Amino acid sequence: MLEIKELSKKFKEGFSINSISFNLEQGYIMGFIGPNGAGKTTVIKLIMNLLKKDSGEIKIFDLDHIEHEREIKNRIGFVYDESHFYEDFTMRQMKSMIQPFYTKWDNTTFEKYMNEFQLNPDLKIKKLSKGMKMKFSLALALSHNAELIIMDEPTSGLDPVFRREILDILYNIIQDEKVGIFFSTHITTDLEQIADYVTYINDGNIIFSLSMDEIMEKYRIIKGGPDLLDENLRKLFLGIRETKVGFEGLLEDIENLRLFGKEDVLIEKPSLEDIMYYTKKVN
Amino acid sequence: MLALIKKDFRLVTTGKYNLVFILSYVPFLLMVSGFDSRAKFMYLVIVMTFAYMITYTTFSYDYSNKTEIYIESLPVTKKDIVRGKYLFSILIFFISVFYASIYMGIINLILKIDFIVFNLSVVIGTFIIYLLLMGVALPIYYKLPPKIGNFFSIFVYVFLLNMLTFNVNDLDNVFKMGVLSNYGGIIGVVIGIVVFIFSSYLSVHIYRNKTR
Repeated sequence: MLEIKELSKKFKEGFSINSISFNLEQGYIMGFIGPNGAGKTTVIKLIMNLLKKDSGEIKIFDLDHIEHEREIKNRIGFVYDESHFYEDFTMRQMKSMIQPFYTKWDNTTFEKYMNEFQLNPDLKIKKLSKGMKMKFSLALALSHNAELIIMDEPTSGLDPVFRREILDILYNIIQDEKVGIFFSTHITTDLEQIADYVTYINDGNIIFSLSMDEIMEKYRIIKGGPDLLDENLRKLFLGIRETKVGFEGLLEDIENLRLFGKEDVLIEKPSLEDIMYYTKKVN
Repeated sequence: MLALIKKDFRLVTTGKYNLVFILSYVPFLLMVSGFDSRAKFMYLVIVMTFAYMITYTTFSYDYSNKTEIYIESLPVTKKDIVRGKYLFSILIFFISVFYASIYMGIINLILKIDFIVFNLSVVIGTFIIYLLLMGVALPIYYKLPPKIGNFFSIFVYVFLLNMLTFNVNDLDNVFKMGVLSNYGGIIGVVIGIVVFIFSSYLSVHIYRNKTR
């Protein structure tokens, strides 16, 4: 459904996206994580052809994203982190403006979502809270039978209740197995609840693109006393944090667990946040 | 592309301020000129400034609301966006001609004065200047940051208007613009259209390579 191959983009300011590749299959949610400034929004802009790539290939629905731009975008629903609407318009006016762009626009679906999100279509956009704008954006994205939903930080700046609501909506959407969701965030706890796959980007480089199960199998957090570590053991960690009372580190290859005495260390499954923290540290 | 043009029409016709502008624009300009029906340029100034300001307003809305990213994400290409804007600016010119003619006709009836309501040679002359103006102004809007682009476009507008119409003093022989006025202005229209089309290619190139 979404296939990125060796995608690169270099900016004059020095930042670059370096030959990244990943795939998203139909019917799954892929979380796209990375710290602020890692390149998440840039990659989304490249996918949406808002930015010109330097090299690489982007295929959506098996079609080249530039050659078939109109056709592809007709099948994509998008939600961005900021409001990009005409603030003086009401939601109804904004909807009427957007509707003619899509060949498969469905007013019934739009009204269903507006009711579900408790949005009054006659309210001006400038009167909406950030959460309401996000819901309106989502209602627009979901009202033209989109097969791929691309979201850039949809939950950032939202309170936990709104975030949970958005995640529930996404979870409901994905019950229709024809739809795929690509969802960038730096709030990794959101993804632990709903993502099937996670792609992690840091400094314009892909660190990994794996299923949640693979991630949970691949990494371990090891905690132990300060006297347990020597130089050879230290090298095994992807990232490590040492204090006077002990250490805590991220181990990538769980085969290496046998090198630690099981009685001496505490072994835990890491959260995505742990993985992000330690890999960012080592990078 | 039709959806893009519709979008721009909605932008400039939605909201109280826009409607107030559309309704009060002609009386305001006539008031400034002292309702002097001998002012030969009024028709030209009304049509051209109205069309120019309406086109500019659409850029201004997109800039102030940061909507460019959203519009570009809709099922359109960058080329569609630029071509749509060029087409919109032409449509708005002809709407301005219609609007100014109707409005000034009504004013003539009410105030019993004699403003020019419609004159083909004035429309042709205005169209030539308008094509040249937009041919220069639109790539500037796409190339430069909005505030600087706006400043330069206004400069181009004032400069072109003055340069091309400073010697207009007789409506029967309007727009003495050298070669542009040959064959009843046909040469001027052809040159204007060529400049306008070339300008649209330039704007597409600029817009495609724009980095946000």
